[in-house]
Amino acid sequence: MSAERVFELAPHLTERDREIALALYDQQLGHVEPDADAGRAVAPRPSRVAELAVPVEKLEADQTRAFFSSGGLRVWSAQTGRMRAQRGDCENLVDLAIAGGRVAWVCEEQFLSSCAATLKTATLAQSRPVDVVKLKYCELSVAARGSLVVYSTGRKLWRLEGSRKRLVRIEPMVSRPLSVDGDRVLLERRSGSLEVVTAAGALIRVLALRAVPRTLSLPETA
Amino acid sequence: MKREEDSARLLVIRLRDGKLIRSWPLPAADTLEFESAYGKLAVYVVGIALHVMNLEDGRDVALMFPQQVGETHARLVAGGLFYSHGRAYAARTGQLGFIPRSRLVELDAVKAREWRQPLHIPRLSATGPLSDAGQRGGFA
Repeated sequence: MSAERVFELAPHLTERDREIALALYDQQLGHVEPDADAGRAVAPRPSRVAELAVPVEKLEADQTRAFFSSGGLRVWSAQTGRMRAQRGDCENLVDLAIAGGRVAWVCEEQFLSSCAATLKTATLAQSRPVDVVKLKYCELSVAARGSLVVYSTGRKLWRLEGSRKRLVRIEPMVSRPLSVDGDRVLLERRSGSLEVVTAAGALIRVLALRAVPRTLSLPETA
Repeated sequence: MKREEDSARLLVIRLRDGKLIRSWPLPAADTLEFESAYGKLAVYVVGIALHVMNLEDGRDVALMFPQQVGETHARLVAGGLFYSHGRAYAARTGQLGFIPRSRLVELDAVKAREWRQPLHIPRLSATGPLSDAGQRGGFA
């Protein structure tokens, strides 16, 4: 039900009442039934649940662990239920990734007329973060899964080996990694076309779609 | 996930030959976000509702969580589904959970809706190698 519909049903409300009603409506806006048009609504049975002080802002996962931001960076094991805080909060978290026992994330800092970005990494055993790269522009993005962590610095695609970087490939235009599977990386070029490359840098395929996709992923069997 | 004007579709492309093998219609909503895919399953969010879709036959279920509000996120992994959402009327306003794959498969067994059939599947043709030795595919 829309706010307009609420007001249609309650024409007697004064302007002040409407302000209060709208504020209450905004607070409850998300409290609606799932959209039944696109499928049947069912109640899932999670094996493990963690309650958090604040909602999750960004979430990535690999194998049995989730790496997320919720008032700070945290790693949660669905196997044990153990929650661990990850050091290295930043002003503006723009991207994060987890691959096995390694986590990586991108922080940005906005200045009056410029932007700076830093890629940080840490392991689950050693939570002290290490800066991998610092840029004076904001074109950093990271993706990971399994044992592979890749990131781009504009046209250059890099692989993370431990906390060291290794150049994988130089793209013809600015590209960013969207997804990783095994030793394959899905890249989105600034033009909107997609590219699948190996972790060694060999091009597997370029896909030019008529409409620019909104979001993409590299599922294991696709 | 591809959006054109008022409609959105979930496209499944076979990487081996670049062929578009499935194209599933999605609800037309402003707040439609693809979240993740793994194996034959994909998850996307409409408003706050988390949907799980079987990419092979288009079967789709929306997951209901008690007191759910705010942003919803989800990631599929080999063992199952990580998800997060906000909680209304709770002191701790965030929730993170994990649904094992076996329980996702149970959900996946719900009856398919009739309209959720593959519609027009445009042919994706290889148009020759690029200068960087790759292959280009595009809708014919």
